[in-house]
Amino acid sequence: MNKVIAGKLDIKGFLFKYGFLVIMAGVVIFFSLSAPHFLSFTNFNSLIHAAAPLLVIAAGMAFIVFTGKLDISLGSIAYLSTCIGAVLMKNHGFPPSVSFVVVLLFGALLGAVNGFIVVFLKVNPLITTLGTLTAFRGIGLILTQSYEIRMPEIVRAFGTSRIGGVFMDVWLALFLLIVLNFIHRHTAFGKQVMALGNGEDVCRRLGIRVNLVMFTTFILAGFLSSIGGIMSMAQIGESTTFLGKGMEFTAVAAIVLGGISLFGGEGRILPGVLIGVLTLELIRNGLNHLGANPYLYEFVNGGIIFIAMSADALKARLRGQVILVADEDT
Amino acid sequence: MRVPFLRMKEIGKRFPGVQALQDVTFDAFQGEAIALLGANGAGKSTLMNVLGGIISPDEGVIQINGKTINIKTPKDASEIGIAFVHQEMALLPTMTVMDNMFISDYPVSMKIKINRAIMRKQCSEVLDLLGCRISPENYIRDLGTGDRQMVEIGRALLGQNKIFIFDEPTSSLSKREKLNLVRVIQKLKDEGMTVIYITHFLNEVYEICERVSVLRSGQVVGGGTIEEVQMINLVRLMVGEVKIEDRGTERITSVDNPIMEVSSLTRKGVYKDINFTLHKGEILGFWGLLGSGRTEVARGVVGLDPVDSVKMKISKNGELQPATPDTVRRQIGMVTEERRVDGLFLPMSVKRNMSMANLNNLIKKNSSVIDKSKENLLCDEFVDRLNIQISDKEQIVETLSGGNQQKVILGRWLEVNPSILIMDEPTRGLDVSAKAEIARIIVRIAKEGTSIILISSEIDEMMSLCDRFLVFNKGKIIADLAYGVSEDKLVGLAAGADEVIQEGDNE
Repeated sequence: MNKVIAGKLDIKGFLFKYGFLVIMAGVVIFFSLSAPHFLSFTNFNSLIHAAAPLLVIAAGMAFIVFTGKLDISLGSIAYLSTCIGAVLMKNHGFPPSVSFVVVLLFGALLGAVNGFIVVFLKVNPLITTLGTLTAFRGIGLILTQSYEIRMPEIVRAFGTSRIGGVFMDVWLALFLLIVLNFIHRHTAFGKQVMALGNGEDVCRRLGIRVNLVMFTTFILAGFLSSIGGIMSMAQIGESTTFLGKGMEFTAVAAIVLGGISLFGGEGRILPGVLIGVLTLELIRNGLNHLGANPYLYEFVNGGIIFIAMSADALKARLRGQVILVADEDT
Repeated sequence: MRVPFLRMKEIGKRFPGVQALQDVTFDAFQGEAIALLGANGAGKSTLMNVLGGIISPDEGVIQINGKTINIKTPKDASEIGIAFVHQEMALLPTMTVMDNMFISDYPVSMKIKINRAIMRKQCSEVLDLLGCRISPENYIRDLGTGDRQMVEIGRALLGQNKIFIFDEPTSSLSKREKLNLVRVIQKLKDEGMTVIYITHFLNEVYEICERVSVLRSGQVVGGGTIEEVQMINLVRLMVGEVKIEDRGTERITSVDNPIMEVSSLTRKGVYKDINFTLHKGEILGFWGLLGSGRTEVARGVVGLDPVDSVKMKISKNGELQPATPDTVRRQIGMVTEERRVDGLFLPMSVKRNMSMANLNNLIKKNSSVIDKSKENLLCDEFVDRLNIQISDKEQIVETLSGGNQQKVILGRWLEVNPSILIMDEPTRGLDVSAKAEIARIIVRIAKEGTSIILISSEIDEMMSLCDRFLVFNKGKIIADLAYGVSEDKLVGLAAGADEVIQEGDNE
């Protein structure tokens, strides 16, 4: 009897750990079989290129989610901060390098605005960022008067140039993921971010500076969003009003697919974020190859978010049961 | 007279509606363990939370070696060298044992990277010291409660601490783990550390501590070296001598009118195979120390906590019939232990609080609208009957005194008029006159035919109210005694010392 339970637990444990890999493998196999040109280096290269901005923004989102919170304004931060850079370049003749530094500073600043409202004014993070989601985009639209702003040649070049056959922004995104993974796994800050996801009261009792860690996390997420925004703007070659739109939700879906729990304190940047983002991008790309209606992707994406979150909730519930069984044995 | 290493001087702390600590002076010496005793809500945890920087006192100072120090946050406390092992464990389930131990103070190399080797080494040393067989890499969520408690204790042993507060550390430990803990505490004392030990198990006091200090209702009521005070005296100090209205000998002894029968009630790891019968109009006392299972069983009966097995019968038209969840909901009222946490809707009015359990009867016929006049009428009636002191029935419950808050809860259940009413520490934190008033109400509703299960930490209250006592110890009912049993016997049984139980049985 005990053995049967143990066997069941092992399957459960395996799915807990590698479920997201199984899903990705399934997606790759399905599209490889049904779409002829899906499985090729060129396709994968352009696929991961398209995914690069999301990789960075999703990593920022992951840090917020590790603390058990959400920031749904990240796409708007990406938009507004790059708008400021675009306006500086176009209307005020700033060189791209200086403009991008300003973009990054603004990314951090906008993150700090969210952090300030959540941490010091004690507003629910979802409500806060629902507000800034709209407000930040609104400011950007005013600044640009909702015109597209074309990027100078050198910026466009960054968006399309390659190193060793792989797009430059992909290298940058991967480099950032490695750095962020290090911060998450090997620094006190990263650990305390995870601790926050276990409950703020407990953290306070343990002497963690809860407010400082939380505030820093929002700044980090804003900063990363502005990097994602720059990547996205460079790829498109201009600042468009659609930049970053809906990206926060795609980012949430991606990280949940990557095994990061929305309940906080659970999951990893590598390989979690990478796998989650790639899985979503594989599906989008695969549907394209099948010649599916482009709007179908929206539907599929929504379905995936729903399924991934149900799985997350189920996981949290089953985990409770696993502990109970362990208690019984002792 | 020696100068105490730690002196908490004239500490006072007030929470809304209750004076948690009043003029408490508490001394602790180096190389000694002092037991801090007291019933539920006596103020032990509040006092230690003051020392641990979690609560700031309204009055009083803390001195170490005669020097006044400032403790404003838990971090201040830990910098001074105060290690606090909380009763409610402060653990991070999704993280490893060593992360849990080092989370607020990681050893780092090159300013940034966490040094896992040092962590693993120190963590293993502490776990070995505690005789704990888990690995530093285990996740907390995979550990049983005993091991979790050991991690919590291990955290205190890391670093350069001088004062160790243990708040009921043994409540979830096995015998072997307990022995290891006793050994570790002995070692701490040998090294000249100061140990403050909070417990409900009095035999542990004699095993571990040199001195005791007893709190009751936020005040120091006694103390001294363990040679000076005896176990029975300790319990008496803890549970108090406040005389409240006595029902006299006019108790119910009839056993032919059962109203509820509970059998084989079990919740794994909490209580096991609980059987008892409650009779009409009876006041049945659940007696035992905190953690003995008395509250847990009561919560299990009404379904507030999940149970693993239970058979329940409730009387219907004079005959016991298997109870459905619906009957339980309709027939049993529960006054919970923490009225501010799970008893009252604090920001709502007296009226709304009182109607809350009775909404089904308050709605107008054939609609789902609340009948306001009926609601007002019932509320007025019970405010009057229970003598609740309020400005008007729209007053917000949060602003009431503890006694009046408790009466609002009683009023809520009396509106429903359940056949069984469970009351868990109904007089906790109330002043003497409010206690007496609640006691009078309890007697009155029992007389009117409601059966009552009463839980209280105060022996005199139990003695003066109950018709029968079920004594709980370690999740079991160890005795079923009718009124007339001596106070000493009840106290002895609850104290949990095995010898005492046997003495009792031999009588």
